[in-house]
Amino acid sequence: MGNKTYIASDNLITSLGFSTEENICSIGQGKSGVEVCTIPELQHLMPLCSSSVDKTRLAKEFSEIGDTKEYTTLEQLFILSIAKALASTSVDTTSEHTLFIISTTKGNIDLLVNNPFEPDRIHLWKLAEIITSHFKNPNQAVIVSNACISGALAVMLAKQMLCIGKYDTVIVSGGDLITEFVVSGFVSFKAISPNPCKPFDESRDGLSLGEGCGTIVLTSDASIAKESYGELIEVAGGATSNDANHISGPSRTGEELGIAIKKSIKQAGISPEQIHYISAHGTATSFNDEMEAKAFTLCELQNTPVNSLKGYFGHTLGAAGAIELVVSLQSMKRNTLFLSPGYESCGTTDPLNIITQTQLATIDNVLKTASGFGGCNVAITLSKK
Amino acid sequence: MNTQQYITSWCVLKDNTININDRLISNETSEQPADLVKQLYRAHNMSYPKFFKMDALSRLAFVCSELLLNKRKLTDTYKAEDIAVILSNRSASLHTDYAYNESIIDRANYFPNPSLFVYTLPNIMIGEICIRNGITGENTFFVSSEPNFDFLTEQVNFLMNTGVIQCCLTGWVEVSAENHYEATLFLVEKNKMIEDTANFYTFAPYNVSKIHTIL
Repeated sequence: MGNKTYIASDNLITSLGFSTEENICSIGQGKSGVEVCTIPELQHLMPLCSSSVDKTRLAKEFSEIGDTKEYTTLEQLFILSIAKALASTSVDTTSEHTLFIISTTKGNIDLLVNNPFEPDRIHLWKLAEIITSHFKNPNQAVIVSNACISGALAVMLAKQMLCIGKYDTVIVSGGDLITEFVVSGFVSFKAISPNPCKPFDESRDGLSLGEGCGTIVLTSDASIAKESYGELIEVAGGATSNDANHISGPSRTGEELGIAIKKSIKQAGISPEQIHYISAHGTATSFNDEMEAKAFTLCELQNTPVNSLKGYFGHTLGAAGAIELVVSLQSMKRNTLFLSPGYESCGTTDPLNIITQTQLATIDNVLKTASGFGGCNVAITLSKK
Repeated sequence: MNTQQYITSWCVLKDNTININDRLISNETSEQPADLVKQLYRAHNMSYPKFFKMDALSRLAFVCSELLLNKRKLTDTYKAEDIAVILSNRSASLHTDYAYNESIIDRANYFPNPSLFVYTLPNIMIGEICIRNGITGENTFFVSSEPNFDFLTEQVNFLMNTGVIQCCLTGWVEVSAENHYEATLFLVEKNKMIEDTANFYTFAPYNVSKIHTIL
């Protein structure tokens, strides 16, 4: 039933670089973008680590496509990432059959303190309007703001939109910045580690925050997808669920993330043993990683190779799902399992098969999961066709 | 495969007025919409202590969902994972964003407040409704400058038609930075559930907009 969803292109702008290639090259060499935080406005919140985008380079590269004075930092990040993702495609952004889905948790929240733009600029819908008008897109963008699952959820929504058939191309872009607003909040929760985060490790003691943007161009046309992406990869399944337990702490059982995982895999028409790799949420907080390990075990995925990419990028919030899905797609294209940074020894009650060495492997089906405040969970299944 | 979905219950609140299923149950003269929400909570004996920990947006969503459900337990009819909560608004959590920001403006008096910070995410109100009702199904929060009921009905009807969900609590719940309240919530099901045939609507953009503008 309905149209299918294939990947046509992607882009990453993170601490590790301004293209997918640069990012994957760094990851392949085991480089991490997470380091001791040197952002002047955050020094009163030390000790903490962060993963920051090079703002000088952002302004320089953006100035080639727009006036930096007319756009906020986050708008520049989104527009540059989308422009780079579109460069290798023939997508017509002016078409009424092209839709933008924008994912962010806090958008231009930095304007709360100092806003040189019009007052509405702080609104998420305004951020999306700025982006779509840059690309002269005639449609109202879909804006998702669903805590830390936003980016992966946006890809699931793209699948639904393409299936309905009104659009033939959907551009998903997820972005968020490191701000004092967000960092102070996580500090107040005592959720931040003084050291680079160590997902799933015995000594993990909290997350590291990051910033960046991930863009994925999706199409219902398999031949266009294959030609521009080199490999035909389908977003074959996607589901969300809610813990119905606590607004700021994950489920104690992992059953609810399990619901989303089972639905997503079933929708893809495969069984758990056909999943070759899991890109986990793995924030490196004690509760999150424990919950995820339980959920994977409940779904009979405890032996499947799994990593958390938070050790490379930090937790990029509304961008995380999009950024980590791009890396998952690249893992599939390159048949490579990337090591999970910061992991040394098992730190969850249910042991997982954490990837400790970057290695070649056949990867036909991937599961991507994320969980967030408000008890939300998402699971996406990607399949080679 | 397409079947018909029905609005089996609805609730519209705008500043100081609230209408539930065509019954104007309150038209208070209280100056603050926050007070109306509290009055409704008390008048309907909702007895849920967590209510007082919630921010304005979650309180509004909570009270409207309670009035809409009218003590009905959705999990008696549906599996918890087949029920969805899909909400939208204009200002996300901006009202609480400003309040949280106050706690970090002054470096000499710097107390970032974790219980406020958690409410600087608009999907928290979905979490609150899920916790209250034991709902574990699909949950999504959208932002648009105005209610986009064409999109919302398309999205929810798609999920219902494809069997992904069986029941959905959906709509618009907005608290602006300027303290304007506006909520339009719908319970959407495949069965009409109501015997009074004059009192149901199909879940289509026309009906949704008609209800939204009833006040």
